[in-house]
Amino acid sequence: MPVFSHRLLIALAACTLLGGAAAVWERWSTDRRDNQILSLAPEDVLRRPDLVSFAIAEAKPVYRARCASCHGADLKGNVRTGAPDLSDSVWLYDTDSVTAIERTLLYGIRSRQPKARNVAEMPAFGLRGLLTPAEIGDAVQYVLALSKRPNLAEAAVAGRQIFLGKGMCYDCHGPDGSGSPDYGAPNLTVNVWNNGGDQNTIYHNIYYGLAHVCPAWYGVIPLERIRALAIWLHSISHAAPAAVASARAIKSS
Amino acid sequence: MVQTASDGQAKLIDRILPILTRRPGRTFILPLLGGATGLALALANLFTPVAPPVTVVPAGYAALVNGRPILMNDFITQAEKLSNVPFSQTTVAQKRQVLHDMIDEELLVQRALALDLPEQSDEVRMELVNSLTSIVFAQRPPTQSDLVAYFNANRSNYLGDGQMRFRDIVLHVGSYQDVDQTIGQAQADATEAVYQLRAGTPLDAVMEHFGFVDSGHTSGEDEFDFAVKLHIGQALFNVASKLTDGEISDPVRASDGIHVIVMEHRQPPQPATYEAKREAVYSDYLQAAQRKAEQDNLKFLRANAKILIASGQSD
Repeated sequence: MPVFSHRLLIALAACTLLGGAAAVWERWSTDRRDNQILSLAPEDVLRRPDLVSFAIAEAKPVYRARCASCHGADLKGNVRTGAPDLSDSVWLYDTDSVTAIERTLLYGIRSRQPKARNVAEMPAFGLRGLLTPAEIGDAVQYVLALSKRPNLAEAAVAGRQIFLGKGMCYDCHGPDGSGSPDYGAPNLTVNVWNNGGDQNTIYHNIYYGLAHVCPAWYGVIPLERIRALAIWLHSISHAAPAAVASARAIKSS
Repeated sequence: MVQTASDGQAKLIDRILPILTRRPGRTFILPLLGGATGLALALANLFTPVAPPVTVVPAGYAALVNGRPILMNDFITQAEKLSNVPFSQTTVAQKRQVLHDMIDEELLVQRALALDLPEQSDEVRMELVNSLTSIVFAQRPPTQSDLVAYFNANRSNYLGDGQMRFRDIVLHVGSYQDVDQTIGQAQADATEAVYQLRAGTPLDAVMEHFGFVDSGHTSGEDEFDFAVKLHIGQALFNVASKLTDGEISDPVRASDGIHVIVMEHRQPPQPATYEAKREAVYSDYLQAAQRKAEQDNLKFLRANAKILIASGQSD
């Protein structure tokens, strides 16, 4: 009996030691790779498949904890809250680089953080009396035409005048409606609608304006996890062909 | 009997020795306790992690300036913005210049804080207050019903401008026409003049009889309310704006004499519709919301601040 106890103790001690060593190794390995994805320039990480895989594994739990409540567990966004679909290849702000995505994660959008993306917002054209309901109706038809959807041709022609004139829509969305990544003004020609793309919703959004918020995560999520999230989101958007994204958007709208 | 020093020492030893020998362990307890405490302190100090001096820039940062980090993302974004090319295409010289400028800026900011610039410069104080206000103000987009409710609650702010055509006559008290006239007499004359005017006596006749003159503040044509206010002052405007066509005011005492206003034509301000004023309503609503946010923030800050006010002063 004493001999058995003695062996059991030795086995337990060995297991404990092995487990401890494995935990230390895992921690050391994670720290090393965290350090690597932060040390490299954001875009250079993409050239290291091992680091991208690591970043994806690290990012998923953070996404579930911090981002999924708005953007959805499937990353498809939510048209009711205006949270964009993160699985497509369409980005509101900046170029679709890891650096740009990371910047949005760090400082947010209209998050009250001084470095947040907060250049402009969609004005409430109807509420403010900048456009009459009839003019907004025409503008809606032109927006439908821009996204190559069925529209009332005569109203769309009048809407074009509003778009390029009184409404000054071109100032943010560009004369051809292709948007401006500097302002976060969406591209109206690709038929991707963060807030829903039906006529009533477009009318509502022109009438009441839009100014959605994304929180700033700098100081909340560790820097290496923010970088991992940016890498993951970038890799997803580049795995999704634009045509697929567009088709999905048409289906959802 | 003479007591020698050696006798004294012997007596002292005789007194102490029993105490020390009564509990032999006690001799070592205190030194041991002291030693153990010292050892514990030394060990605690030895194993307490002390922040080492930072000699390496942590991953994810471009530089540390007196311990304050410059984030790599900020550096890359700034470099791309200034060079107008992706970061990978920026030259070493461009990167160096950008980082140099960012470090300079950080140094100047740190220096400004060290000099307590917010305390020294009114401009900086004002800028800080404005920045804080814009950060604190959570701009919830208003709904139509919010705006209509605000408009209804503040309708008096959204009146169209009225117009009026009137005569403003004044009786200069103690003027060259009647140097001995007292204020009381002038007041009585003005009251009588008003009575006669209301009874239908022509204005010119009344003016001549009582010594009124035209104030010279009216053009004799229709004028907008805001212009009238500028010409005759707020007090007289308040009286004039309440008169209707053909109505004559009571005497109004002013610094230059006693005025009487004869309204020839009055078009009161028309209440504006919400539709006509929605841009102004929207803007005013946001300003009011911002003021409320400021007040709420100050209320919170005051509730959590320790403010002492010198005796004789009040807040």
